[in-house]
Amino acid sequence: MSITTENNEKMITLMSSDGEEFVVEEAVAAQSQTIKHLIEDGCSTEGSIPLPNVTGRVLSEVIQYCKKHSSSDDKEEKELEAWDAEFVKAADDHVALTDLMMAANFLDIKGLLDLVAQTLANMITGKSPEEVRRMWNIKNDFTPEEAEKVRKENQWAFE
Amino acid sequence: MEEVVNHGLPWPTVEEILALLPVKSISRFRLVSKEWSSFLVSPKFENFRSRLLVPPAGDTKEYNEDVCETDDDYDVEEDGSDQDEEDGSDQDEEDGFNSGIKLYFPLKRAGNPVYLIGSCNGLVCVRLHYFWNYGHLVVWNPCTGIYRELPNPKYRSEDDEDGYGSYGFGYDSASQDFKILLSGRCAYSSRYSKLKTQILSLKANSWKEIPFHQEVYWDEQEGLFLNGAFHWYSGYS
Repeated sequence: MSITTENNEKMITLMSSDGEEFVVEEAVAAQSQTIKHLIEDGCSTEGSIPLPNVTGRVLSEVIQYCKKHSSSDDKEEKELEAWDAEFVKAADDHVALTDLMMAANFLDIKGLLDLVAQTLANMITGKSPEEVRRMWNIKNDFTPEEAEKVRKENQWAFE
Repeated sequence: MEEVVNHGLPWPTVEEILALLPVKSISRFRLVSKEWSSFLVSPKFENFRSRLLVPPAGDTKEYNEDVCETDDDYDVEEDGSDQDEEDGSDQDEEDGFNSGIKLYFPLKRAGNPVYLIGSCNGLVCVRLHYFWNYGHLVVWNPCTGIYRELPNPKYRSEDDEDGYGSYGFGYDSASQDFKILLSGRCAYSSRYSKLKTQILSLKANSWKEIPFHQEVYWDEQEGLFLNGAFHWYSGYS
């Protein structure tokens, strides 16, 4: 569905996986390469764009990011950096960040992807392999012998 | 029953995150799972990560002096801790550079010396010296443990079992390729034999001769790679 506001901004509607609708300016939504391509292919004219991989909660955060970054051309880079830092801080834990990362990946928003990837990388830098497995529910598929060999080869990293 | 996902993140996003980690974490996370381990030692990961590297800052001088000037029989087997400093820049970021660490060197053989040619962007180039042949060249990533044995130079000295000429190891940002440069004379005994300079591209994995006829002073002195260029003492005028 395509509406035009008083400012002549083209609006489009995004629908989250749980059926929540978000009406946003096309320029904001088009920061997502995925949505941009959908718009170019004419999908936005036939009602709302469904985003089956993104929940309403995550989508509202993503839109917040896109709004900030689409209106920030004339703003100080420093201010935007500070805003980004606050933004990922608000996401709070690795589960929320992981959700954001997946959404950024699916929607193909490079800036957001880089931002969240860096935040998660910082988060896991000092962690043990066990902690990382727990974070993302990764199965340890090494036999004890194999694990011992890898540990030996990388002994310095465990000290 | 709901399908249990292996991990919460789709693989491409895991790659994005891993590429941003410091080397110590990369080494440690090889123990997370087989999937992580094989990715972290893959050439794909090396390429992925090198794209993110800042322009080369390959000052290896101090280390060169430490290793090359102290003892010709420098040997990793006997004292692996001497390899520590190769990783100094990365260590610096994380731990502060104040203690030695012991690294696993995959090619160690008892009694065979290892000569350091140089290090650059996290890779170390060494020449292994075996008693039954000329030394051969290896590029090694001390953090991932990956190493690659390189082809021998096109021209070699016939009577110099210690190798030939002076080597340099560096990164060419224009072609995004690591290169080894070797300049010297084919016959060790004659300074009047023809000076040849050869360059190995790691991407091409082959040597080619280049026109460079400036004599370098190469008596056990490897070229120093600094700020994107090789540096040597100049020899005879």
